[in-house]
Amino acid sequence: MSDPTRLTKMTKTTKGKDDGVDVTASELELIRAGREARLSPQHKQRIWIGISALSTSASVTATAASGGALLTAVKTTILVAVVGGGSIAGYQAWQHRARPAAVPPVKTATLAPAPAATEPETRDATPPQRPTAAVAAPRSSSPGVRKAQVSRLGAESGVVLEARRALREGRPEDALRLLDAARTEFAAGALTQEREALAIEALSRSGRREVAQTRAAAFLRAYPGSPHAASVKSFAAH
Amino acid sequence: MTLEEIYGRHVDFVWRALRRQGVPDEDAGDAIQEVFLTVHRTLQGFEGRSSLSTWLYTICRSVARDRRQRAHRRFEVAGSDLLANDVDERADATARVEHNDRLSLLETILGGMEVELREVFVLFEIEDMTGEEISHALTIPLGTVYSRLQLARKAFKRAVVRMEAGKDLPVVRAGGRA
Repeated sequence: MSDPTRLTKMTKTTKGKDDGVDVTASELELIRAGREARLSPQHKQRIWIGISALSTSASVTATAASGGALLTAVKTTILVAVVGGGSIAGYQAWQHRARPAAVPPVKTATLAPAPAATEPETRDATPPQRPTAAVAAPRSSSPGVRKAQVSRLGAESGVVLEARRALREGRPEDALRLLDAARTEFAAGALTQEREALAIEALSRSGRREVAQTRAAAFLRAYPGSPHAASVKSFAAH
Repeated sequence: MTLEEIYGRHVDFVWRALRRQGVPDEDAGDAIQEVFLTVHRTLQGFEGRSSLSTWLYTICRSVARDRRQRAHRRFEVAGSDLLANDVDERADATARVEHNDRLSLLETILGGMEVELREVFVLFEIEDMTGEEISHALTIPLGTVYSRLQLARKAFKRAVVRMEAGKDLPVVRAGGRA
């Protein structure tokens, strides 16, 4: 048994041969619209930030293995900490360190509700743990270390969010300043691709097309399968 | 293949699958994360006994089902805004409107089809899965896939004709654009 010809692949010669199946132009237009439905690059990037942050956290990975309500509870906490308030607070703390006079001090204690968001590790390096172990695991490190780790990932996420906001508000130079500073600070960060893709966009939007194209080419060489590849290409072409 | 590569190649498919499984737009991002975290967790155990699409689709079904149960409510599948909200924001505005119009119509038609027929139709005609892959993903015999597809095509055609007769569907010009 072989598959029938797909409606979108039907030609004049195949039409009508599959049990008399024929297809009209209207049907094809609708099916093609369905085939072309895609998430926007912005949505993809936003979602990927969460996935990359969560998937590089051994505790969260272990917790995800358990499924169910615990996953929801812990994940919500993590997301709030990493992508939400925690990232902004972490970013502000980082920014404060970089430029002490610019921002009032931020208490790192505000990052505490995310015990599972530990320093990113090599993927798949840690075997899954039982849920209880996942929650208990951070006890092995001191609260101070934990906060610093969460703060670091949160700070990096915050840079991405803040840079994106600057871009959205038409301030590509501000975005570039943030991203350039973060390049050194988070040289081996978990969100390197996100930051570089945004930097290329910012360069393009600020009229520095040659630099944008050079960095886009380097990006595409380094990350050919990146989810940001399409948007990087589009900005390099502008 | 790394998680990132799988995400890059299949996130649109996962998004469409989740939305068509009744995951509301506002929950889609969270559900996508859940799918790819499951992929991340189980990737090493994936032995290629099924295709990647089949595997991802079964994860999407499972995630959507779990979310329905957790929410203790029934999501209405399909609707005029089913997939129309997230097309590329940089796309040409007119083209985007046309695309969204067609997408809305498609989803309206799909929403009016029986679930079993719709699922096979979408996986075969829109997601380009083979009969064999659909058979594995839905755990139904290949012959059933084909018979459902045949019925689904007829139902789809009838719905399009009905909408055209009611002037609900933009007239498609010979060039292919409405």
